Amino acid sequence: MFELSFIKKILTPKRRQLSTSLIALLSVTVITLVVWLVTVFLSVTEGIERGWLKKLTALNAPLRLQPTEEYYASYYYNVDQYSLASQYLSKTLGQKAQSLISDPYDPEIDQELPKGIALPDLEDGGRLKDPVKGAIAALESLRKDFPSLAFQDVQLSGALLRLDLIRQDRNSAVPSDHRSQLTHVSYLASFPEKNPNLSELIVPPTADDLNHLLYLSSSPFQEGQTWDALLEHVQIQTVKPRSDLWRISLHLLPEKTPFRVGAYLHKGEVSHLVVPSAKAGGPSTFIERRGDHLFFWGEDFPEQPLEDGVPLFAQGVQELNVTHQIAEAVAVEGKIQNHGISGEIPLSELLIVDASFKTHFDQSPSSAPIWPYFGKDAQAVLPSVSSCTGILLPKHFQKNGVKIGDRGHLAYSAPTLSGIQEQHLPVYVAGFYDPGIMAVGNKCILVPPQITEAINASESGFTLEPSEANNVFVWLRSINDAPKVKTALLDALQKKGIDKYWQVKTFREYDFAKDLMLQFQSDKYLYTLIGIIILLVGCTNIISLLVLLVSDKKKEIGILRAMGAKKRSIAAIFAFSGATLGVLSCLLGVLFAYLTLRNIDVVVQFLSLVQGHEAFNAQFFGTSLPRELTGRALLFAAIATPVLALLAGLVPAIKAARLNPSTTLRGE
Amino acid sequence: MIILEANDLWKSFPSSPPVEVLKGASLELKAGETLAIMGKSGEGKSTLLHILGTLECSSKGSVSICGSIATQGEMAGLRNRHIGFIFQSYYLLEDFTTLENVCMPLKIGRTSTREAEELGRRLLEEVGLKGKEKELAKHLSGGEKQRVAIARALANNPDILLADEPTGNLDQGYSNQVQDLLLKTAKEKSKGLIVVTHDRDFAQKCDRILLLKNGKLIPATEN
Repeated sequence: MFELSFIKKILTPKRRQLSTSLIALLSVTVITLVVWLVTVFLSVTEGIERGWLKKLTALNAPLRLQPTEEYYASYYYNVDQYSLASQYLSKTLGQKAQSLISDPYDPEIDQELPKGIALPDLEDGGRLKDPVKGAIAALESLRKDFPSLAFQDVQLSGALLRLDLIRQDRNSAVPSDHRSQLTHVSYLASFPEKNPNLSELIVPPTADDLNHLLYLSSSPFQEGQTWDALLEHVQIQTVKPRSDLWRISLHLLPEKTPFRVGAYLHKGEVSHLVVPSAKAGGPSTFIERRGDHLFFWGEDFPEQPLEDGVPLFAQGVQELNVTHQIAEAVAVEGKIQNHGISGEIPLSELLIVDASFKTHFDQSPSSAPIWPYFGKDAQAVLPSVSSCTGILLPKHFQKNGVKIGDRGHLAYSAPTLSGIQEQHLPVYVAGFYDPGIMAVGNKCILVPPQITEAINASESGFTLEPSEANNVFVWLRSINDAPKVKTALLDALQKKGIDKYWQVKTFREYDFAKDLMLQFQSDKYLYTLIGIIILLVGCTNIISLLVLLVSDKKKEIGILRAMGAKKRSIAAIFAFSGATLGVLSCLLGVLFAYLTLRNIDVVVQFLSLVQGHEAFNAQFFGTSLPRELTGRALLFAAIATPVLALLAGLVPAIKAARLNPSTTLRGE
Repeated sequence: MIILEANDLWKSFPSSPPVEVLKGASLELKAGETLAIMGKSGEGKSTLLHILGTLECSSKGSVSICGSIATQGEMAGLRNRHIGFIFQSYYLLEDFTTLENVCMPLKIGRTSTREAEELGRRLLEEVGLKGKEKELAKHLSGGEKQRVAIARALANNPDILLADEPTGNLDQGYSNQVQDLLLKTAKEKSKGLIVVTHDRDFAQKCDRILLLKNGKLIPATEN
């Protein structure tokens, strides 16, 4: 291919062709910058979109089955209110799925049905159609094609949350408790234990929570769990003294090792000793342990034994490693003045700095932890403690000072014989979860389904659209499968003749997410369009370069034509020269984009430094920007750049092909 | 055997009034025949040569090369297969080596690189440039450049060699060498050679001399 050797020659920079070489360099630089910018931009925006979609669908599920108005008007739904077998109460989707009989009405026992109630929708055999069990069976059948499919009915309700926040007041001279109350009008959603994303959504307990739990269990205000029970599923790694001046047992000190010490005298006698944790500087008096006794000496007085019982303090000890836990004490190792110390210390003297919490169990634990955990078959469990039910709060409560173990109640109104009365359901905070993006995200508390059932059954006046209050959530490993599952599900529901009772919605159709989805879509198109326009501008450099090259290489074009080169070969040389520059710039741009994305945090830090404030809002973009080079961005760069560069090269290429060789050669 | 036939060639260049350069020029060239075309400067000798070599179209008349009438679409292929050009200014690709220059017509004709290079080396040896294969064309002397141009013109084994003032830029010593090389090659390889020249001695060495006068070709003996 003589064309390739010619392309190589004309694109190789030469001192003789300084201007063309400089323009070529400029073109490559500009397009590289554009590709770099567009690729990083598209990757980051797509990453953010993916992150948002993940947040949107992790809890809310990418697919939902909503009962239609026809469902709520049906005989199947309404008949429970007139049936003793259903205790004259409407059933939730979950209760319907579990009930043994589809039609609980018994004309022998139950009162006559009112005239307004719909007629039963019967199957060919005369049995009442069961839309809920039918939908469950349809979903089960889809597991063959979509093994990751998981589903559960989720109820929404509402109540007033009141929490008692009991905190240790460390500022007062005498240790005391400080009490406050938090009241919050909240949505309640039944705990979706079958949600496969729960382990990512639930925020693990922290050492701070554990300190709080240990404090609460010894508080006179609140009945807590025993320390043994609390610590059964915790492994404490590091602890620190509760205060800077920490009274220690002399047995923590190694034998026959001198420690620099500060001695405080009272009436000529040593009243107490303080051992600073740092070695350098400080007093020039020393102590040493020998057996159960301390010996004391200084530069200006000889060694003498200290009386037993003189208080010994360590000052400034920051961290002690826990080697093992013994009931309500821990065995620790640490350093004072670079000498190792070790021994057992009661936990009551310490604050826990770092601990790991067991949240996954192979078997159901004999004594459950008080935080949410995953038992047999990775099924999530929201525990209860004695009469208190565990609830999960959105994680922003944690930032506002709520801690695991805080107790309170959910208040709602319910009709009683003596009128409407406020009912209280005792609850405690079992943990926090990431609500992601949802309409009522910051107000939605996850509670056991019994609570939502109880509140909804009370007709408390909290009203939601029936279609929103009780849905079947369907989770999938890949949210991109949602439209396929929807089609298959609608098909299966239609075959069972129950499609009129259900509305199947993918996450793109959720009312609360529609606007966000549209925004994503238009952003995507807009960014791509902007990318193409910037790239087009970048490629105009190639046009300038090639026009200059054609003018510069007129003689060579004439020579090639005289030797029999066809017009299309000449055109190909210049068109592919443009494309080669495009490909080269594309490769460089993608490489720089990859390196930038790998170090995106450094870039963000730099931008923040330049701007003087945070470059990206963490609440909006997350704590870290996406660092993955996405396929779409790569595809855009890999296709758009060479194609646009090729197109840019076409005009000069056609011009080159049309040159008259005779005129060119005579002109030279 | 007639390998090149030009019939009643007319060529005018657009201007006001149009400049008529050729007014019915005709010629025939046989295989192995050497033909010199002479004439005053500006008479249109180079234009005639370019038309004969299909680099340019005539306003009227036809050119037939080895039995094929040169038409617009066919010209590049005809040039590559049947015609070798030698120019006064050599017209080598300056940034390419001598071997690459010689091989270029072969590569344009899609001969494999290995075959092209083998033939190119042989041709360079024939024109006395053995050992200069890797030298860049821009580093050669004028005489060497014209030898490379002759080797390049012969690369595709064309039937016709068209030389436009091939010795115009050379001193007497190089000029004689190039003339002898061209005439010897034409005779030995049985190529038709048309030389446009002002050099009467060179023209005398050719089989025939035609004079371009008032747009027509006339045998030199008639003058």
